[in-house]
Amino acid sequence: MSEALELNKRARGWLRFIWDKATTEDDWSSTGDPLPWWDRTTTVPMCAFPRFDLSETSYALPLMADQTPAWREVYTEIADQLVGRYTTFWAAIDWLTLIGPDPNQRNYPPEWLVWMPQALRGHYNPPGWTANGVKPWGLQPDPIAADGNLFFRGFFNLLLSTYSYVSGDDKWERPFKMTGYNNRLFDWTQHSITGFIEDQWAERPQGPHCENTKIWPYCMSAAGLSLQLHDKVFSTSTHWVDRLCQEALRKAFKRWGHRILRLLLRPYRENGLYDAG
Amino acid sequence: MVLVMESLNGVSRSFVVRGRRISSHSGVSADAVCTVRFRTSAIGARIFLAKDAIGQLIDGFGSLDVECKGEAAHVLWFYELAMGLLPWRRKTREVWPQSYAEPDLSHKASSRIIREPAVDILDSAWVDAAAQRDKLVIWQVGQGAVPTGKVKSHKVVINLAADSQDIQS
Repeated sequence: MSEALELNKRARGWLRFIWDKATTEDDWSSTGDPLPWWDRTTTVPMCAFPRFDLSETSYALPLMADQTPAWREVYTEIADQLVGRYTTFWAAIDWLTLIGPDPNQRNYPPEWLVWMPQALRGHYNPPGWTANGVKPWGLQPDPIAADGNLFFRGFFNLLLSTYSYVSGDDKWERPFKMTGYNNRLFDWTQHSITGFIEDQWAERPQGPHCENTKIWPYCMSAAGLSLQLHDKVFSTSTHWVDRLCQEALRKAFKRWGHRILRLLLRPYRENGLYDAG
Repeated sequence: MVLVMESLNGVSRSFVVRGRRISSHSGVSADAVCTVRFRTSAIGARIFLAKDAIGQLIDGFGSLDVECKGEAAHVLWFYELAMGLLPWRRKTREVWPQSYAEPDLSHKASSRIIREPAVDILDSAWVDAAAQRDKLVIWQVGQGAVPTGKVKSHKVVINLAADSQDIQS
C-alpha cells in the first residue's frame, strides 16, 4: 500500500502563510516599500536584505510539490510572485545603493567587526557592503551582469529553477526586465542568467565575488545548486564548473577511499560477515 | 584546547592551543580533547614523518597500531597546522586568475558586463534610492544606530571592543 501523499497540519499552516505573503500585493520599486513581513533584519550585516526572504521562502516549495503534486497551481503562483519581486529595485537594493567605499567603515560595532581580518577593521568595507562602483571594476548598473554580486544571481537562478521545477511552465524562460542602477532596465531570461553564471565561474575557478573583493562558499554553493537544478529540469550540463571541487574529492577518494572502506568494513570482517580477500 | 600524543612504551607529550599560540609539555593531560596513542613511539614517528601521514594514520586505526580517544578531526586539523609551519612542507602560493584583481575583457562573461567610470557615492539625483538606503540595517548601524538583538555579553564582543577602540582612537 502506498504512503498517503499529504502535508501535515503544520506544513499546511506554513503553506497558507507563504501563500498569503507571496500573493499580497506590495511595492518593491524604488518608491515603494516591501511589507514588514518580508525579513530584512536577520543575519546582519551581510544578509539583512529582503531578497533573502524571497529565496529562502521558496525552499519548501519543491518538497511540498513532490508531496502534493495536485496543488501545482498553488506552488506555481507562490514561486511566480517570488520571482517577480526578485526583478525589482528592492531585491537588488544593496548593489544599487551601497555605492563606492563605505563611508561608515569606522562606525561598526565589535560584533560586526568579527567578520573582518583584525588588521583591516575600521578601514575595510564590511560584508554586506557591495561597493558597486569601486575601482578597478567601475560602476556596473546591471545587478546580474556584474563582476561581483554573485549572491544576487546565484540565489535568483536557484529560485528560477525552483519555479520551473514546480510549475513546468516557461514564463521566466522568456525575456523579462531586471531593474538596475537609476531604474534602468536590463533584459534577461532564466537561461541567459544560467549561461552567465556558468561562463563567469569557468573564468574564475575559485568563484566570483559577492560583495566586490569577497567570495563566500555559502553563496557559491547556492549558485552551484542553481546550476545543478537547472541541469536536472532542462537536461543541460552547466554544473561542470565546480569541477575543481569534484576533482579534489575524486582524488581524495582514490587515494584514501580504499583505506576508509577497509576501516569501515573491519567489524564485519572480524565477525566473519565479509571477506575482503 | 589540549591534544595528547603518546605511545604505549612510555613517551607522551601534550600540545596546548590557547589564544592563537601553541605550547607543549611532556606528559598527558586529563582535559585533552583528543588523545592519540601509538603502539610504539617508532610507529608514531614513522606515521607523522610519512608523506601520506593521514592515510597511514587511518591504516593505523585499522591495524590497531594507533588508537584515538576523543574527536579524531582535531588530529587532522593539528597535523595540517603543524605541517604548514614546516618550510619544506609549505604549499607554494597559488596564482589566481587575473580577473580577480581587475576586469579581463578577453573572457565571455567579463565582456558582457557594462562598466562605467568608478564612483564613490550614490548618484545624488536619485533621491528615491537614497531614501530607501536609509532604511537598510547596514546603513542605519553605520550611521550610529544600535543593531537590534545585539549580544552584549558575548565573549568575542568583549574581546573585540578593545580592538575597535584602538582603531577609532
